[in-house]
Amino acid sequence: MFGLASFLGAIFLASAFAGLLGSLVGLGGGVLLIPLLTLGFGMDFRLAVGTSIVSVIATSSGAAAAYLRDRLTNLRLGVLLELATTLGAITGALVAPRVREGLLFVLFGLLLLLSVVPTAAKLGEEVPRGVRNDALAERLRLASSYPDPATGRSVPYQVTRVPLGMLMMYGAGVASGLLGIGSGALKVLAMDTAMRLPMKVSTATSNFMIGVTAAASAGIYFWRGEIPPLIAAPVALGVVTGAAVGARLLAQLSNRAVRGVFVPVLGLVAVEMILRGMGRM
Amino acid sequence: MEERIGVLLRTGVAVAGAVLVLGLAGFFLHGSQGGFLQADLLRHGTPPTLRSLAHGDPVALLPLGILLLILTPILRVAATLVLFAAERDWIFVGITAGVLGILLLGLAGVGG
Repeated sequence: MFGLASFLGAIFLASAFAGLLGSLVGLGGGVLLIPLLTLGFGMDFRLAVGTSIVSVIATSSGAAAAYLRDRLTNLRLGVLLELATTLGAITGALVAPRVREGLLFVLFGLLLLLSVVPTAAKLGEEVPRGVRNDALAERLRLASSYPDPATGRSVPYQVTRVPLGMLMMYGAGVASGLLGIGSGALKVLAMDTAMRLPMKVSTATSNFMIGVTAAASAGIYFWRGEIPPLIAAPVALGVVTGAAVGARLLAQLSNRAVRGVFVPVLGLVAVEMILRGMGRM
Repeated sequence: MEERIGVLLRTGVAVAGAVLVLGLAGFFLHGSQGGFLQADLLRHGTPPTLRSLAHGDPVALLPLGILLLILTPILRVAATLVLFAAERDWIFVGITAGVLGILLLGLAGVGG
């Protein structure tokens, strides 16, 4: 019993670290949890996915509440994009049992690299210039503004290429349901590059959607018996604790600093996951 | 209104977290009365443990807490639906209802 308690304690502490880092970079925490559980604790990929998806809900709900308070979230846009992310998540969860474990490792690593490369290339664009609403954004009144905590002024912004954004969001949903991550990086990527939202709004709105996306596939994993409760409980508690600290820090950090921290760490993890996956194929 | 949605999310996570803490504490203090083994709880997901809640097995609090976590964002979407209905924004009521429908399919374990 004592051995089990310290094992679960170690899982709790490691998860707290993953939650802290995850919320700082606008990810659900799953992106760090999956490597932690599979590479670090030797868990089956599928059980790691089930465990992680629950924690993703916990992290993002805590962080999303903080962003809502800071008025960084675009509620209307978030709800619209959730149509695409939830459909994608269900697709991913249903496809998952048919995908071999080695391939899941490789896909996970590739996705990590994919989220790191464009971020590294484009460090720190706080507010994109010259963005005009497209027809859908106009009709659904998606343009909004947010208060810049640094200057205290309200920053207005418009939203473009919404259909392309929704397509990318469906893909982000599939990744979430298949790999047990919030796929915040893909969501931020879609909002950053396709819809050209300010970075802080992308991060906040992404977090707002992550919990809902994860909830869409979590029920499927739960009833399939792929969420081990004795692991999922300390992982979820740890991640929430870490994320709560991270969310408080974020509003005071610049985008450049945030990205500078997460690029090298995730790059290394991605390579390790790909190597592991290729060894199992 | 954003504040209230935030409160809902925080409350959901706090309640689920408390249930998980109670479940873990119960497991370490009393073990599983339902006869669930450590190995099951570590290596398998256990929807069946949920049923032993009726028999006062503390281990059943673990899957219950997990379900509460899953329910939290779903309730958030329901709250958003109410918000858009209050604003008579029928397009967004429709969009939110669509999201809610997809979520309920997932919650029912569609395809599993």
